[in-house]
Amino acid sequence: MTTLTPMREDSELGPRVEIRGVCRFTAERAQRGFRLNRFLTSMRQPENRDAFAADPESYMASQALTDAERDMVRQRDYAAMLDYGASNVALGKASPALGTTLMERGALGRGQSVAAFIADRKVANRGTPWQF
Amino acid sequence: MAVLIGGIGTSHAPSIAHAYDAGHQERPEWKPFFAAYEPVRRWLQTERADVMVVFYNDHLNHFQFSAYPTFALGVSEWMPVADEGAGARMFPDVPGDIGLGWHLAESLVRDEFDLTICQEMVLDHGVMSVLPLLCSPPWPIRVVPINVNVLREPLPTPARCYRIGQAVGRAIASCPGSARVVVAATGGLSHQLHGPDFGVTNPEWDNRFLDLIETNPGALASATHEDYMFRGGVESVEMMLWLCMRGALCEAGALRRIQRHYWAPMLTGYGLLALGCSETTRTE
Repeated sequence: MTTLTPMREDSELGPRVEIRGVCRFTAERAQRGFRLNRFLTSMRQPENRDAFAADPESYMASQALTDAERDMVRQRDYAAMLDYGASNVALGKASPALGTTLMERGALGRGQSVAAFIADRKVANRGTPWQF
Repeated sequence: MAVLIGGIGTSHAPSIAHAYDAGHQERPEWKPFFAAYEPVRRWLQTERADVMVVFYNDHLNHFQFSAYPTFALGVSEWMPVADEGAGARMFPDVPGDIGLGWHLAESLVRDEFDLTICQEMVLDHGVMSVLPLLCSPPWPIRVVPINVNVLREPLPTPARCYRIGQAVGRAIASCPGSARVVVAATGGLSHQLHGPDFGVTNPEWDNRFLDLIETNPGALASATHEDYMFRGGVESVEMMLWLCMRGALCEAGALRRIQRHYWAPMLTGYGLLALGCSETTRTE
């Protein structure tokens, strides 16, 4: 179970913490990932989901994805997609079409089973109310 | 003139909508969370709030990256609920406020905040996760949404969010009519939704944020995006949306706390804060 590591006290805001594997949706990623994000967000429409489910290769071709992009989708390599330029929100739109869930991506990110990930998070985040 | 009743900051996690739709309000794990909204709901009723200006972020449901505005104002008579990929939730369209909407547009642009004006808008979970917790259909409150880009860099700065909130406060104060307005912001708190620290929350920071948003918002406004990301997680940068709400209240003077609640159940931190403008500062 990972705990946050305080880095330094910084003014009124309190300490920063170490966060590993930071991947920001930068302008560079937005530029490189534009087609991929257009493909991912197109999965909002049922007719597009049906087309992708029926023939993924043809649908990806129709979206003008490059070979590298198609390969990331084929492999369901979410970490690679984010690093390349997928928006995490766009990835969320495509979750049902790709057959994944937020919990599965969390488990993959942390190298755990989904059940272990959920159990861990419930404990680690102290899922009890803080009432004021 | 319109009256500013106060402000609400709240998380908008999709899980809230899922739990609501599944009828989990009475489940032991969810009950304290939903119960926390009841005093806020009663406060809105007591204060006869009839308009909500809500700062939020759209999740690629109304806007796409082909044209993704930094700030966008919804001026629309009716706003449908977005189909986010699994069918739209069963809520009636949400009424907008054309009068306040155009007044905000004119006032903000004159104030040099050049928003995109949207005469059509669909509302996603950024608004709809929490609207049913604050009031029930048929919607008794008209909604004026202001979308802020917290997804694709370059993002507006926290200071800019605070200042646009202050401009909204000025605009409300100068709006003809008798609207009773609450300003809301949705988003946050801790969000780290990728990589090996996926789902890690930082309740200490979240609660410090809730302290500061109430008592020292200037400290949060002068912080950097990295100050947020390296406390609450990369996606938690959307916490700066709360500064838009808090900025509007600066024009209103003294505040009293209506409600504060925090819960970090699983993957993100859920915060709720409602601040009322004190009776003495109102001008009707």
